Amino acid sequence: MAYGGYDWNRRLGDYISSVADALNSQNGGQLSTLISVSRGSYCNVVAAGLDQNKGQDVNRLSRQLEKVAPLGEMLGQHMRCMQYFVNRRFVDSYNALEKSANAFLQEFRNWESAWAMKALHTVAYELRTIAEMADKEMASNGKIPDKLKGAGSFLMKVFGALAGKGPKRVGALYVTCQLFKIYFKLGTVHLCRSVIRSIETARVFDFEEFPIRDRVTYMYYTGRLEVFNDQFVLADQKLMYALVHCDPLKKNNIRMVLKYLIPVKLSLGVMPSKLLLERYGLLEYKEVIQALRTGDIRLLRQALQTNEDQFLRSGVYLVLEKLELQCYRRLMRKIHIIQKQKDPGRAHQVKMDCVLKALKWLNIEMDIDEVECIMAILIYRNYIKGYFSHKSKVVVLSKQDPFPALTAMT
Amino acid sequence: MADMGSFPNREIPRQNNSYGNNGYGNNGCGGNGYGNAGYGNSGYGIHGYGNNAYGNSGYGNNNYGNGGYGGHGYGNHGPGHNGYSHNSRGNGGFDTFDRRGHVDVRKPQQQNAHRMRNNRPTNWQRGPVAPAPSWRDQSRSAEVGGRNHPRPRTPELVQAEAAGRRPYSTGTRSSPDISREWRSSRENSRERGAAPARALAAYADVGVESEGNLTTSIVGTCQDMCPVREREQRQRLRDLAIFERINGNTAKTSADLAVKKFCRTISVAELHPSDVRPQHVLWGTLQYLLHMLDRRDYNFESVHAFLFDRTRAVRQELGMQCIANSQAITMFEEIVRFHIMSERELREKKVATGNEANSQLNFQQLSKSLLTLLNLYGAVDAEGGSGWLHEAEFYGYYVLLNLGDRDNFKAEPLSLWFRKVRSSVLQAPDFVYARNVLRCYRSDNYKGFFDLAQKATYLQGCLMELYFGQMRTLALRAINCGSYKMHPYPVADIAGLILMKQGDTEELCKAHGLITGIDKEQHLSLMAKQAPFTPSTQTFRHQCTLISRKRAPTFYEEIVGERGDIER
Repeated sequence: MAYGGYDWNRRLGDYISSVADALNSQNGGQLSTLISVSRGSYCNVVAAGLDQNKGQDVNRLSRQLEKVAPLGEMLGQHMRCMQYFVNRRFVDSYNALEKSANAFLQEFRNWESAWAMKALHTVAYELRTIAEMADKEMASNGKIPDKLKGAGSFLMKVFGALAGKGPKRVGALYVTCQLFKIYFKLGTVHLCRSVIRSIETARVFDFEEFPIRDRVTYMYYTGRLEVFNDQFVLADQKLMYALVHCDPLKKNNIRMVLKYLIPVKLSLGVMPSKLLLERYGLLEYKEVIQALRTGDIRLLRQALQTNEDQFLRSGVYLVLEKLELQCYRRLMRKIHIIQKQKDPGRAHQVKMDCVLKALKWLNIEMDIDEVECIMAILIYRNYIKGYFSHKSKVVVLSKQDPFPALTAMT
Repeated sequence: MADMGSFPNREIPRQNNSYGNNGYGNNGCGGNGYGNAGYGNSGYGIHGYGNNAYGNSGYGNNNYGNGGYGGHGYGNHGPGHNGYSHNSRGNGGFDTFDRRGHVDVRKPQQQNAHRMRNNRPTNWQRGPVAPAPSWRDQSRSAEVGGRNHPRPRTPELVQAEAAGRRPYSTGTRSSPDISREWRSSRENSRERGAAPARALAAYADVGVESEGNLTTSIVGTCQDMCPVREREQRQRLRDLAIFERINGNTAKTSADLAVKKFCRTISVAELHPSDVRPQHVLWGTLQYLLHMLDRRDYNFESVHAFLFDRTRAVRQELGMQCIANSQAITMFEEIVRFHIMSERELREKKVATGNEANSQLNFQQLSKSLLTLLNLYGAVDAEGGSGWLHEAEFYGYYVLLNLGDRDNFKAEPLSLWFRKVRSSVLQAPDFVYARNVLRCYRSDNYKGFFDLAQKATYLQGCLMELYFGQMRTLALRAINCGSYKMHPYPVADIAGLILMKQGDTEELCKAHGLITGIDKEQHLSLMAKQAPFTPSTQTFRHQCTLISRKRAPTFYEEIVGERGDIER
């Protein structure tokens, strides 16, 4: 590929001057656009310019910049990063980026105001993105991928620089979210705790002062963490917050929140409408919900089996498995209703044998002892009010409110 | 940044993040490394070289005690000024306060409470460390003009010391030699054979216990279960285990009896190939060890303690040599089985003597070896493409070990862990079994749980026994809560449910504050709805005979199983 030599050189020069301008006028937005790598439009310019002039080295260019604005060394490394990126050498690109980010962070710490926050965020985003690509490259070359881990460590440092009091704090949540994304990808979610503690125990700062986009993302991830820990009420609060505050036009984001919110809501006894599922393409939950509505345990198990891969990948499988108890509750309720129609006087007495027959009809093999066990647990967990008799193998439901609302317990 | 001291480093580029140091936690001029802000340069209170970079690669890393804490290293205001750079021990340590009371307090930038890991593969080898001279020595040496350190403190020398190698006191070594030696040992190690990276990855996850240089591996040549050097040394020191002694003589052992001990700190560079056992010897050693489990002449605890240590050494050497193949997998499988089985045996003893320690250590090693094994499955391709024979069994053990994972915040949540499991494993019967147990556990289905326990293999039963206490308590609770007042629940039935003998069940009830009595039909029964249900403070560890009966006739058989297909 032949570049018009002089042209690229000049464009590179222009690029550098724009950076200098941005720095001198403290224009965070412009700086952010200029240093964007994976989403940026200047990479090609930079790469071509550098390629073109083998004689001119990056150090000289950065020293040039240094004369008019700080961050010369940062830019030098950053330009290298862009060059490697265009040539698809992601590991090298990441290494250069880390150096550049380091230099940037040093200067950033010294600046009083937070004008460069947007640029810092861009750097954080790029760190994560390029680290992911670098890891893939390392894995395909048979090496142990560790760039993403490194990006995580570095971003913790960035977080440290932002989390103190002062005008810079407002940018900390964005970095937190980047960290969450990294930890979730790596599976090391226990590392989230320290960051969360930092954000949530702030006394000087109100959570609502963070930008809304960051708040939604934050709540989404912390909600997911609560799901992993089986804390459904908390998960509900957080995911609902995310849902409510999410931009209604961002359908994809809403879908992501719903993917985790639905199992949580189901565990609390709230069913989404079919319309909701259709609108957001979450039809994998359709059969699950149907099973819950009808007390069809066989259908529930089948639904989990069919969509097993999907549910496992998103991490909701174990939550959905627990819904089986609710299914039993529903089954009991149906039996109760049927019995009421036949003989209202004795409807509240349900023979365990009857339950056994119903299950057999659903092709579920169980012995009477296990049925009794399930009844005992339903009562113990307050899904049903009543008692059971081991001797006569009967469950006696309470005459008043035998099926308390699910949301009442937990 | 003024260059202080006598080491002008103008030719060394600034911002050099070399050598294990990414310049983090260090402000000033991005330099804390070697050649970074040059030597003797003040990044920030970190004067001098040897300062942050060395020995910090990743271990006690750069941030602490690194610059900041008055680490006046060398060459700062001239050589030997503040004596040893405290950071040279790879402990970016906290002991880096300059004892001269001269703490550099330019700390605010250093607020990372977070350890920054240097993610470069370390080129250092942590070795036996020379005892650091006390600060008194340091000051003395400085005052006397470096009496203890006659050689010029060149960068290479400091570097080598910082890497933790013993500084050679033979005066003949001059700096160029050292740097050459360092360089050449690097090359040598490369020749030893770079380990296949996936094998490395398998061992790196849990940290190869030798903590050696991960980019090299060594190939052992020792043909005995214990290297000759160690054997002779231990004979001299009378450090022989019971099983290693000839006729009980504490100072005599033989090649047939001695087995290499586990040693925590080993530097791969210091190790001679004749000290390391190659794969086939490790295999033979393991078989010898496992046969010891069925000895009748010593009690289980002593045998276990011996095996615990020696198998750990075997694992260590497998890791050191980065051996990742089907035989290594088999060895790990057998070791994991050994630990599972021991877990059960030790639990009994724990109740008797109240000694938790052994069981806990065993549990730790069980987790570690299981994790390494699971990594190995991923790292090594099975021949024939049908996957590993026992893979599902061990994935199942992982699930069984982590049933109650909510309680353990450190671990990766099971939900996330499941993402990694291969679909071939997901459908396998052993794994499906474990998943069923998980389901019953999480739904509080005690009947289902104990039913599954009855169908378990011995080893699965060993693991499930960990949860028996919980599930039994749960059963009693549920029965107490929901059972009809007028129809007391016969204790015999409860016993059948929770797999206990009737007498034991009665005791269990009592321990929970539940009263039993004789009912109308002369059966011992539990009265319903008794108010105070006290969680039992006593741990009931009666060995469930049901599970005991499942065991193969000998421990060895249980661990090794049928092994027609594995080559020796």
